[in-house]
Amino acid sequence: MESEASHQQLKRNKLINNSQLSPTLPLELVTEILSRLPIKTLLKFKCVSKSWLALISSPEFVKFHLSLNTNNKEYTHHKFLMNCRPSYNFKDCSYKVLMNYHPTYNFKDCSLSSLYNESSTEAKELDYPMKSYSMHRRVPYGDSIVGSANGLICLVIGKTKFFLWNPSIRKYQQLPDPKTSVRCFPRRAYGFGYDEFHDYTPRGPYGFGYDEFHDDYKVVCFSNDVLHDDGSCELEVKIYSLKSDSWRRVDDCPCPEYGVKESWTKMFILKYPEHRLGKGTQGLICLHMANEGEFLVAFLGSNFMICNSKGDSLRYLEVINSERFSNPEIYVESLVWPFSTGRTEDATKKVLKGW
Amino acid sequence: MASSSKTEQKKMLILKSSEEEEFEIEESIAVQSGTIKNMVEDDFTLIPLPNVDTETLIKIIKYMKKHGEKTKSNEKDIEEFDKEFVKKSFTELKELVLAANYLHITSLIDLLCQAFADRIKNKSVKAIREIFGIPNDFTPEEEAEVYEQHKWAHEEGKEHIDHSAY
Repeated sequence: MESEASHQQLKRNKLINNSQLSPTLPLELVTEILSRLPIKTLLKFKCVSKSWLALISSPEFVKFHLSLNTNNKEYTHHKFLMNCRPSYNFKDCSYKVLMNYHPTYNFKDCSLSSLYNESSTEAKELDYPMKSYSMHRRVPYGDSIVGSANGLICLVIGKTKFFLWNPSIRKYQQLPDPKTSVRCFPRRAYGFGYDEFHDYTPRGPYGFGYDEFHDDYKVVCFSNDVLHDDGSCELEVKIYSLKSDSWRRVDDCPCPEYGVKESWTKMFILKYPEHRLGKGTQGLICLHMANEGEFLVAFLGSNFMICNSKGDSLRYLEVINSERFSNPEIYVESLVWPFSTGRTEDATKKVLKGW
Repeated sequence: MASSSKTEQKKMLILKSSEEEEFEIEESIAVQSGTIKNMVEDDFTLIPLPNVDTETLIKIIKYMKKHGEKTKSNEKDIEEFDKEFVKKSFTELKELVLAANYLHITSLIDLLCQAFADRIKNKSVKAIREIFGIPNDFTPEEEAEVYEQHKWAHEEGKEHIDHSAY
């Protein structure tokens, strides 16, 4: 009978299915699975096959992965990056030692979600491949973080050597020289300045960001070349565009009204008890706003706290291994690498010329 | 059939597996599947699922029934269920995720993909190929080149690598 025959066919099909190799997953499901993996694992899995290499390297996947990490409400993939200078007791040093003192700056980071959720967080040292570029300098300027966007960190070493760095994939690339004379930090114009007494590195006259409209990364560099009699400075503004890989001078700069009182709105006054201010606490240098109305506040000298939107401190945090940090930046782990190449290996092995 | 009955009679559907076996399920629970929901809107009550075999369908029905009872108080209970639910072989998980994808059950797709990710993240490249049934189409030189580009990712922590394909 027909139903008997069809029943036999079904049984045969089942046998065939069971003895077949287990099914392969379509690309959309592989993407779903891969997007949940840590970056280190994704980099390893590029070796699985050509299709996996193409998938993980594709701009679509990188963008998808970035948006998942960025929108993670627990800040699971956000890091708090710090520029740490090893402490040094100058008091009993000989002249020779002082003259040969070249502070090597290290970068450390810790988990942002840990800062919000735990009372104690550990900062870990990062592999910092550009270390050797700064080792040969005489001036004790730190390696200054200009800013971060989409997991890329923009750094400047020695005032005009710019680098883009993705610490999650451990790649860095030097950018062309802006050929501008940043002779001094424009103290008056923007309130930056090198604080020789406390010896920490301010942000400097730079900026970095992602231009979503043009899908381009931009670096801004200010320099004051002309000092007028009345004490005012004429600023030269140069912008670097990654897409064009070049700097151009900006002639009319629509500078936002930072100096205009009315364009700022007071949010709250932070209340931080004096007895908690440790030795060397100089002032607020970082503020991050979380989803639940909590704010992370970090002070120089390694003091961290969480406060609410009224400025009341809710809890104090311990961050192990974060002494003497400056230049904090919050970044998100990403695969973003807008260059076709980029260096990874430890540059200390290379000989540097013409510094 | 009464047309304007106010009784609590729940509408039932019949799901049919690829092996022609039939399972009765409440409509309100079955519509967690986007695919089934669409068919119900087109007035189907017998839903043929030629892409889902009996074994997998039974598991999916179990998942939908459990998640259909979701309330504020039994969240922990459901979490425990989910944890146990994914304790299956990679082959079973693959069958399940393919079925969940076909049926558009978003929460189940999420659960299964996360389970995959958690289990494969420390595995070796060879183990991954076996699990996913992917042949190595690199030449040794090509593979070495890709390896070199991210050498640190391979070298760091390699003593903890998991070579098993299970």
